Amino acid sequence: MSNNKGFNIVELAMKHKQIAIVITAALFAFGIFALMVMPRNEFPEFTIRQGLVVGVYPGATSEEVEEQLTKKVEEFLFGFKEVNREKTYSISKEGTLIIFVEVNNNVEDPDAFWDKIKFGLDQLKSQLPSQVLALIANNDFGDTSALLLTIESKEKNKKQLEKQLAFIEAELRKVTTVSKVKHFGLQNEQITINFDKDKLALYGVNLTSVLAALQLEGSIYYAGEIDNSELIAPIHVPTSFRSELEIKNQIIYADPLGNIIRVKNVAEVRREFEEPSSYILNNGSPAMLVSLEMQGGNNIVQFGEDVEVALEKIRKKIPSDVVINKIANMPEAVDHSIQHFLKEFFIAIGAVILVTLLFLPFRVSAVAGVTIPLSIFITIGILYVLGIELHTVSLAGLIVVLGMVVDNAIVVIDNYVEKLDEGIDRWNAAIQSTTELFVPVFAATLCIIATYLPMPFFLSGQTGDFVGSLPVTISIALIVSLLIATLLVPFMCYFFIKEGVHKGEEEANKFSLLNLLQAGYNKTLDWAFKVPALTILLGIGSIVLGAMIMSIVPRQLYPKVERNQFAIEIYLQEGATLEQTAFVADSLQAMLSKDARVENVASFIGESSPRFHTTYAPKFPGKNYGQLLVNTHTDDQAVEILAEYEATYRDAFPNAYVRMKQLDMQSTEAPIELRISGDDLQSLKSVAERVKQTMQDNPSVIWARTDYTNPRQGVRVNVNDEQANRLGLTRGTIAASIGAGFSGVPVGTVWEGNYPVPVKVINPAQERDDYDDISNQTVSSPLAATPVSLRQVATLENDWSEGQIIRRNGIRTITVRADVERGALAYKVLADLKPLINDIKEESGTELTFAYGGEEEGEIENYVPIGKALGVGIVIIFFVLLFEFKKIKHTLLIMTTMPLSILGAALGILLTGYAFGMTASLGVMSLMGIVVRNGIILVDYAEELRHKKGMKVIDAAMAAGKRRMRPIFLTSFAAAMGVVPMIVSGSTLWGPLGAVVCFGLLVSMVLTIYILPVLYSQFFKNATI
Amino acid sequence: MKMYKVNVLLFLSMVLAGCNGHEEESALLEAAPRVINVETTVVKSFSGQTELSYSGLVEARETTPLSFKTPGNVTQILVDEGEFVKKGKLLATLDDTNSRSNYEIALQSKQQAQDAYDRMKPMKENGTLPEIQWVEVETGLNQAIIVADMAERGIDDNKLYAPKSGVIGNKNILPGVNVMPSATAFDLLDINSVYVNIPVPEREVGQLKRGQSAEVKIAATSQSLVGKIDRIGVEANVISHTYPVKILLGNEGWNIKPGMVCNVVLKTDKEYDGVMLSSKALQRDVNGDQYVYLVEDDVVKTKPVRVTTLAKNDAVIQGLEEGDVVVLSGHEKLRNGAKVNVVKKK
Repeated sequence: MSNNKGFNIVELAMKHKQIAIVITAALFAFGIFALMVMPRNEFPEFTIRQGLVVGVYPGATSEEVEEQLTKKVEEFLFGFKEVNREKTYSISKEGTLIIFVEVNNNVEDPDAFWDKIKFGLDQLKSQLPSQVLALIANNDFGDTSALLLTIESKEKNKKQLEKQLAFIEAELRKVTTVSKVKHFGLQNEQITINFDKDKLALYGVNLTSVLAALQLEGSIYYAGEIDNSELIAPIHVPTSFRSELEIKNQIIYADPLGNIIRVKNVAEVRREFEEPSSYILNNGSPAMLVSLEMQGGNNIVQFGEDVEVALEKIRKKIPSDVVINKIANMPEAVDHSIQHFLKEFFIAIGAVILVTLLFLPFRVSAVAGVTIPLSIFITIGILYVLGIELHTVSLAGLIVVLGMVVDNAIVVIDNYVEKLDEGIDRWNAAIQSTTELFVPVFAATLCIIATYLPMPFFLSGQTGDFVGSLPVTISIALIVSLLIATLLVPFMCYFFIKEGVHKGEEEANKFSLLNLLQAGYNKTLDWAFKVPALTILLGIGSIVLGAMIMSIVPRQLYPKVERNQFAIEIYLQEGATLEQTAFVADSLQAMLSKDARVENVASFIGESSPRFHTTYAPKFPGKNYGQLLVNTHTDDQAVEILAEYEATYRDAFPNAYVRMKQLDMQSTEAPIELRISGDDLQSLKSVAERVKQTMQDNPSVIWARTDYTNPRQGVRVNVNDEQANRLGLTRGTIAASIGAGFSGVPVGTVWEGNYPVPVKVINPAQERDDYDDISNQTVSSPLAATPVSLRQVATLENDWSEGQIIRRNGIRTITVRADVERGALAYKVLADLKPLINDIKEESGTELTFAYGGEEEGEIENYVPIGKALGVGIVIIFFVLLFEFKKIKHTLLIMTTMPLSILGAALGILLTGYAFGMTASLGVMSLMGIVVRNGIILVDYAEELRHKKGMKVIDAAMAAGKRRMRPIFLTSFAAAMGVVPMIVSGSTLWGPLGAVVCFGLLVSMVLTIYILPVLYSQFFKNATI
Repeated sequence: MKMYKVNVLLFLSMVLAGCNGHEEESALLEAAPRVINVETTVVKSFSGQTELSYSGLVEARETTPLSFKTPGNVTQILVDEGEFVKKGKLLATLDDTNSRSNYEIALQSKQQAQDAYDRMKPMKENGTLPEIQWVEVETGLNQAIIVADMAERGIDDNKLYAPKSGVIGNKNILPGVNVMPSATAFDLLDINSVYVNIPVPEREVGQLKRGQSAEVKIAATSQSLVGKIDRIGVEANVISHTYPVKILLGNEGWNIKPGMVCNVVLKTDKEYDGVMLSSKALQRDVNGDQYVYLVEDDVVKTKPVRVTTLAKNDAVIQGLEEGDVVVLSGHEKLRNGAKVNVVKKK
C-alpha cells in the first residue's frame, strides 16, 4: 500500500529538515503566544434567540388583553417564518402583554429580523385599541452582564448617590472593552400635589380642568419666532414650574370678581421620593446596581482586570462612604474555571507523556512525548487564527484528542523501531515506516473526525453553540498531529532512535511492564482461540450488559453550574404587596447574612437581577416577586447552603414559596413541565389543577404550580349609567378620576439642571388605602356641572380575573411545572407521574393536547440530533473503511469494535457515579471514533500477514493480536490517562466525558484485543486467500 | 509492580472522584403528610353599619339680617365683621339732623299747643269757652305731645342696636352711604351652634334620619366633633341631584366659622348582613365560585362564601360565622383536607 505522494512528501520533509523544524518551531511559538492572548470564556457564547414584545394596555383585565391585544400581535408575529411558533409564548396579564418570541435556530442575523418586527409593530399599533399605550420589542433580553456592581452609601440619600453613580458610570464607559452600561434601582424624587377633595368640591372647582390647567403650565410650547428685519429671534415661553413654590402659587381658578384660588389653597404640595415599584438592597441597605457588558470577542479575564483598574481610580475620587461591591463577577468565574481547566489540561499532557515513558524505552517515548506539546500548541495557534475562543469546551476537545495525537506518533515510531529490528537502515526505516502507515493512520484519523463532522449539521440552538467548536478543535488537532507524525517524526526517529528495542529483548528488558503484559496477553489469547464461540459470546454479552447498565445510570442533560453563587427566588401570590415580598426577602437576607459562609446577599424586591448567567433568564418585574443573589466564599459552600436551607425555608413563609436556585446550564424553568393546550379555559384549568395535585402528591416533588397562577382579585365599579349620564359623567371620566386619585396623574416636570423632578397629582396616602376611599372618590368631568362622590353613581363589588393567560403557539396553554428535591432525578419522577397523568389525559377527552417540556424536551431536542449526527458519522466511518479495505467484510469486522465500547462507557458512568449527560454523549461519540482505530491497526496487520506473508487465517489473526497488542494498549492507555484529570477534578460537566472516554477506551481495548482476532479468524475461516 | 501501584492509585482517584462528583440520591422520603404553614385570621362580626363620607360646609344656625328703621345716611359704624356683640349694643348710626329738626318742629308745635291750652284753660274754667272749642284745644295739645314724642323717637331710629347676642357676619354699609329701610346693613349670626350642610345623593337620603349622629372633621381647626342631623331637605339640587342635609353642631368657643369646609362621616344601617373578613382570604375556584379555607383542628376545608359588599379593607361575607378561623395567606399550597400549622394569627 505505498502512496507515492506520501512517500515524496515524507522524504522531502526529511531531506529539508531545517525547513520542517523552523516552520514547526515558529508555529509552536505562535501557539504559546496565542494561549496567552486568546479570548477566554467559560463556555462558548450562546446566542439567546429569545426576545420580548411588550404591550401596555392599562385598565384591561387579563382576558381583555388576550382578546384585544395578544391575539392581534400573535397573528402579526406568526406571519414571520423566522419565528419559532412552538417556542413562542405570550403572557396576558392585568394591563400588560409580554410575548417571549423565539427566533428560529437557522436565522443568521436575528438583529435584522428584530428591526423588521419593530417596524411592523409600529404599524400594527394603529390598528389596536387606542388605549394601548405602548407596543415595543426588546431584543436585548439575551444580553448577559459580565459584572454587576452595587453602589451603596450609609450617609447619602438616593439623589446624592445618583450623582456619584453618574460619575462612576462615566468613568467605566472609558474602559474600551465595556459595551453596555446600565443602572438599576434608582429612585426618583417627585413633587406630589394632594388636592383636598372637600375643598375642591365646595369651591366648585373641577379637578379635571385643574389638571388640564396644570398640564398646560408644566410643558414647553412652541411660540414661533420674530423676524424684525434685523434678526430672526425665536420666542420662548418658559414653563412656569421652576420649583414647588411656583406650583403652590399656580392659580387654578379666577373669576371676573377677582376671586382666585391657588393650588396651595386647596392642595398640599410636597417633595418626596416616589413610591418604588421595586428596589434593590445589598446586605440589607439600599443600593443601586450597575451592570457592565463586555464587547464580544474580548478576553473576559482581561476585561475584569481593566474594570478593576478603573474601579481603583474611581474609588480614589468618590467619597469614602460610597461603597462599590461586585455581586456577580463573570471574569473571576471564567478565570477560575479556565485556570482550573488549563491546569487539568497540562496535567493531562503530563499524564500522557508519563504513560509513554512508563511503557516505552526512553528515547522512543521522548520522541512521542515531544509531539504532544508540538501538536497541541500549533493547534491552539490555529484556533486563535480561526477566532475560536479558549473555553472549557475547546480545551476539553484538546484533552480528548491528546491520546490520539500521541497515537499517531507512537504508531509511526513503533513501526520504525520494528523496521530497525528487521535490519533496515535508519533513513529508509524512517521513510518506510511512515509511508506504510500513512494510509491506516490517515484512515483512523478520518474516522475520528468523521464522528464529529456531522455535528454542526444536526445540532443547533444552545447545544449547537455549545459543542460547535468541538469538531473544529478536534479535527485541527488530529490533522496537525498527523502532519507532525508524517513530516517531523520520521526525521526525529532517524535522529534520536538509533537502534531497535527488541534486540536481545529477553535479557535486556526482563523487567519491562510491557513485556509482562505481552506475556500475559499471549497466554490468554491462546485460551480465547481455543473457545472462539465463548469469546464471541462474551463480546455479545458485554454489549448487552453495557446496554443494560446504560439504561439504569442516572441521566442529566446538563449539570448544575459550580459557582460560589446561587439565587433565591421568592414567589408570592398575584396581588401581594411589595411590603409582603420585602418581608420575606429581608427575613431570608438576615438569616443568610448570619451564616459565616455567606459573603454577600443582594436582594431584588419586585424585580430580578439583570441576566448575569447566560441561561438564567431574568423574570418580569412584579411586586409579588423577589430575588436574592447570594455569594459564598467557595463553590462548595454554595452547594452546602442550598442543601441546608432549601428544605427548611422553602415553605417557611405562609404567603410565599422560596425557591433555591442553583445556576443551571439548562434554560428550562423547571425540570418537569407538562403543557396542556386547548381553547376552553374552564376545562384547561380544571385538568391542570388535577395534574398539579398529582404532581404535588409525589414525595420527590417539592413544588408544583401552574403558570396561570391564582386568579387575581379586583374591585369592580358597577356604574349606574343613567345616573352618571344625567350628571354628565361617563365611564371613561369616572375611570380617569379614580385613576387620578389612586395612581396619580403626571402634570409636568420641574427641571433642576439636568435632574428632572416629575410633578404628580394623587390622593393623599390615607385617602387611597381602603375600599371606602374608592366609594368616596370625587369624580368629575369637564361636562359635569358639579363633582360628585363615586358612590352616587356606582356600587362596588369584588371581582376576579385570570392571574395571567398564557398562549403558546397561539393556543391557550397551561404549563404545570414541578421542582424535584435536590438529588432526585427529574426523569425518574416523571416516569412515576406519567401513568397518572395519562389517566387524567384520557378522562379529559380529546379537546386538550398534552406535551412534556422541561428536561424531557431538552433531552429529546439534544439527543435526537446527536443520535442522528452519530448515525451519519458511523456511515461516514463505514465508507472511509470501505475505501481503505475495499471489502465490506473487513469494514464490518472493524466496526464491531464500536459496540464493544458500550460496556466501558456504561461502567465509567456507573463506577464514577456521574450522571449521563450531554458531555457523556460527546464522550461516546469520541469513543466510537477512537476504538475504530484499534480495529484498523489489528485488521490491517492481519491482512498484511495473510496476504504478504501467506500466513493462515488463524495464525495471522493470532499473530496480529500479539504483535499489535502493544501499540493498541499504549495508545488506548495514553488516551485514557489523558482524561483522568477530568474525572478526578469532580467537575459534573466534564467528569462524565472523562469517565466515558477513560473506561470506554480501557474496556473496549481489552475486549477488542481478544474478540477481534477471534472474530477475524471466524470471519475468514473459509476464505481461500 | 509499578503498574499495580498505578492502577491502585487510579482506582482510588476514581472512587474519590465519584464521591465528590455526584451526590447520593436521597432515599425516598417517608410519605408523611406535609404540614403547611399558614397565616390565619378570625372572622369579625359586622355591625351592618357602613360609613358614608361627605364634604360639608359650615353654616350659621340662624342668620338675622339687621336693617335701619328709617332711610338715611350712615354716619358711624361701631362694629366690624366677625365681631361678637351683646344684645343692645349700638352697631351703627345714621345722620340724625333731619330727625332732630323734625323734633324741634314738633317741640315748637307742642309749645304752641300748650300755650293755646294754657290760655284757654281759665276760659274753660269760667265757662266762657264753648265746649267744642275746648275739645279742639285739648286734642291739639295731645296731638302735639305725641308728635313730639314720635319725633324724639325718630332720632333714636337712626341708631341700630343688636337685637340679640351674636356675631356680625356680613357688613353691607359704609359711612356716607344712604340706606333704605329694606336694605340689610348687617348679618347677625347665631353661632353658638352651627349647621353643617352636606349634599346627600338621592340613593342615600332615605337612609338618614333626623337626630342621627354624624362625625364632623374640620380641617381648618383640626377638630373632630359629633353632631346630629337636624334637617333633611325635601327638595333636590337640580344640578347635582343631591338633597341638602343639615347637621347641628355645638360651637362653644366659636372656633367653627361659617364657610369652613369639613368632612362628615355618617354611619348608616344598611341592608347588608354577614360577617367581615379580609378580602385577601377569598379564593376562587375554577368554576368561578368564591370560597375560603376554614381551619378546624389544624386541618383546612373549603367553604363556599358569597360577598355582599366591600367595606373598609374587608369584604362583607355570607356563609361564615363570627369567630371562624380562616386562612389568610398560604392558599397556594393548600387543598381540601391539608394539615396546617398556624404560624401567625391576626
